[in-house]
Amino acid sequence: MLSPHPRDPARWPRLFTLLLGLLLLAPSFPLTQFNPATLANPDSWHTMAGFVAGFFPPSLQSSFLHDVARETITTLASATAGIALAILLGAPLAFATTRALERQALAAERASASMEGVKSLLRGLMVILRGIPEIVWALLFVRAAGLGSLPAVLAIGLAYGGMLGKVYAEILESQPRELAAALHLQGASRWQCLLYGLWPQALPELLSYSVYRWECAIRASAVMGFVGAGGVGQLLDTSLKMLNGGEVSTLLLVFLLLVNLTEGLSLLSRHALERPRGGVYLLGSGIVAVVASVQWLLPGWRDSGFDLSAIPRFIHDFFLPDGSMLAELAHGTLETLAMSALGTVLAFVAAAMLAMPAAGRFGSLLKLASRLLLNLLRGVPDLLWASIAVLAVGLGPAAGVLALALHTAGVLGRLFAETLENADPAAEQALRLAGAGRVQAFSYGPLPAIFSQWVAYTLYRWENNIRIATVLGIVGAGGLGQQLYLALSLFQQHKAASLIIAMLLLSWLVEQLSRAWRQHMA
Amino acid sequence: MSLLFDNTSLELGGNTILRDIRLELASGEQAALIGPSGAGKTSLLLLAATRYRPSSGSLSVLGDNPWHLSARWLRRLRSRIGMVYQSPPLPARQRVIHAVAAGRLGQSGTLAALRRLLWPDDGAAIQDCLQRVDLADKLWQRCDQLSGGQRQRVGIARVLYQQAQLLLADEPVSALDPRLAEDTIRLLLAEASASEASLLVSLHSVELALAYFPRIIGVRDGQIMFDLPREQVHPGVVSALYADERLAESVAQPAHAAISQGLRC
Repeated sequence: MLSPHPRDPARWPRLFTLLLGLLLLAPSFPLTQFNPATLANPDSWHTMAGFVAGFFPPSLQSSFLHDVARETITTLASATAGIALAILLGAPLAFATTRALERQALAAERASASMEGVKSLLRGLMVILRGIPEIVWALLFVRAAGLGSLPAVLAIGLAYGGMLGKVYAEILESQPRELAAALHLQGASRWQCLLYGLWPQALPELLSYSVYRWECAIRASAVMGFVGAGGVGQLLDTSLKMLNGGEVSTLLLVFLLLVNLTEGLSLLSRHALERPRGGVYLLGSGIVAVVASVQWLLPGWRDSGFDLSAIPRFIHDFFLPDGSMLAELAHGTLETLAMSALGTVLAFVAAAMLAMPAAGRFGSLLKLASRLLLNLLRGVPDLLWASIAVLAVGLGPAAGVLALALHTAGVLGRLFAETLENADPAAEQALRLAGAGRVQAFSYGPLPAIFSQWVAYTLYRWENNIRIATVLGIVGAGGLGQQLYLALSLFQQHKAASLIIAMLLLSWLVEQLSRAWRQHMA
Repeated sequence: MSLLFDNTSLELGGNTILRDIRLELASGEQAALIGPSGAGKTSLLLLAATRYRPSSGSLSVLGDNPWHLSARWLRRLRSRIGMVYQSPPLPARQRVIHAVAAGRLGQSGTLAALRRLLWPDDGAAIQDCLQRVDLADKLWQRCDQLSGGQRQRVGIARVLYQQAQLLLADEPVSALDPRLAEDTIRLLLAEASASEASLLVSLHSVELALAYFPRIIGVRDGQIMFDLPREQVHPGVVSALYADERLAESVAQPAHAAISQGLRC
């Protein structure tokens, strides 16, 4: 029963998937006004080279460096105080909403309807808190009550509070439940079940996640200055607007140092957690850091004239949201989606090309060079890339595409290189021994496994990029964020309210879709 | 002459693995390597497969000294050597057709190989090879959906498709159950005779070696203890070969690196 020409049964599904992907991607080009032909045009490369040359040499004026040092400390302090606020907000929310401490989970008891209602309300509150990106929170606080680092602290506190609440609750839910259940049956209260049954086992994971969030908060706090909320971002915004390339490159270097420093600190604290009493030391130094941060920021808050009483009036102005701008909203949402899709696809291509040398496949010199480049791409936050891209290619979504592509290429490139390094060399080695060339052995050996992992990483990162694409417009790089910035600048609060609701819906929808997809895959 | 070791030694990381090996394997000859674990059977096969370069002495494979050849001719030579592994190195997500087609990579150009990855051709010949190992219906399956025995036979189908002139097999049946192990050895012998290829197999089981191979080579401590026709291998010779064998040390597998958290934030 040998058939003479066996046909690949997967050929039509594959072709169909490929065409569908291209079909969905094609409208992204006109929507984002991103023209790949300009990348191939030598003229634009020439302009770009001139643009990059403007960044050298870095400015080293002592008065400027003094400012930089001060604002760097403010950035660190804002992030630390913001995380402290987020923990104060997120921990009680997690305690109240986690399913790990529910009576029906610990014993076969009925849940009370009113308690369940309160929990749903709190969960909804957390969705709103984390659904609005921290930079939008900061923008709102700045517009409502005034400039300075306090909006940055509040923004990080609220957005990360919602996130920590959710993740803390999930960490508690992932712990083995027997001990808490036994305590509950002995008559222990909810608090006692937490402190004696879950706390000891969950603490390392809770601390480690908090430290990781702190690392993220520093990146976030560094760009808060773009909306007037203090820190190095504010200096950078000024230097960019004055087209002072030397100052910009100094600040970029400071950014990179800051990011690497926090990564080092975060790694150090995770190692500390593995030692006996490490948690205690970490907690202690955390409290000291928070107190010092508030001490540093406090004088600025007193002087800034931050007007809390203005906030209720500001909120009042937002009602009711403008319902007559559905077409505008749809366009903004489509533009945001197109930016994220195109940016992610470009990043995938760039990351795949950089990952090969970064995994050491073309010698150690190229490995070092590509690792440095990847660190630069990854270390500079997307919002900062966006503000540079706006200068380079002008206002609009094309700058957003470029910014997402650059930052994501750095993130994915490092992960891709890790995948390459961890791949089992046996298959490739065996093919080389059967006379295959390097490219052949790679594509018939580790490629299938590596490629599927790369695609998984990319889809995961795309989800993240949709959220980021909604805010890049704050520095002029298109999408919903640009419409929001415009509406707030023109005091069209009703319009702004509709835009924020659209952002929330988009972020919620993406979260749900990604969760459903992950469950489907698992 | 398929294989000629002349006073060949191998050192790896300062340790002497093989010492003064003298061995000849004529074209079409079939021989089994036996000996305690750690004796150097695998290293001897990998020397023949041109994986390692001898530290001293000379080596000739299919009439050529591989280490005197240019890179291009070394590739050609390698494409004529087929190797069957204890656990076949098949990528998990690869489909069987590609896993078998990979056998002829040494004989095809890079672009053609890449094209075949997207649009496989020569399906009939590949299916024919799979038919010989009783796996004709698995052509489009993914390798990770096969059992251990089936994966081993895919590994053999790859060597069949490669049309190698020298077949090397490193404990090809130690992961299989006894009945399957005998079938697999029989298959290897039959296919080697049919294509007039020489066959050198290392085996854990002395019984299998004595039952099927006309020539038995005993290896111990990196040296050849005996090289005899089957009829002259007495029980005394075998027990001397395995005298006070140490228990094989298990090698700790490195834990898979955790995926970094760098995706979000």
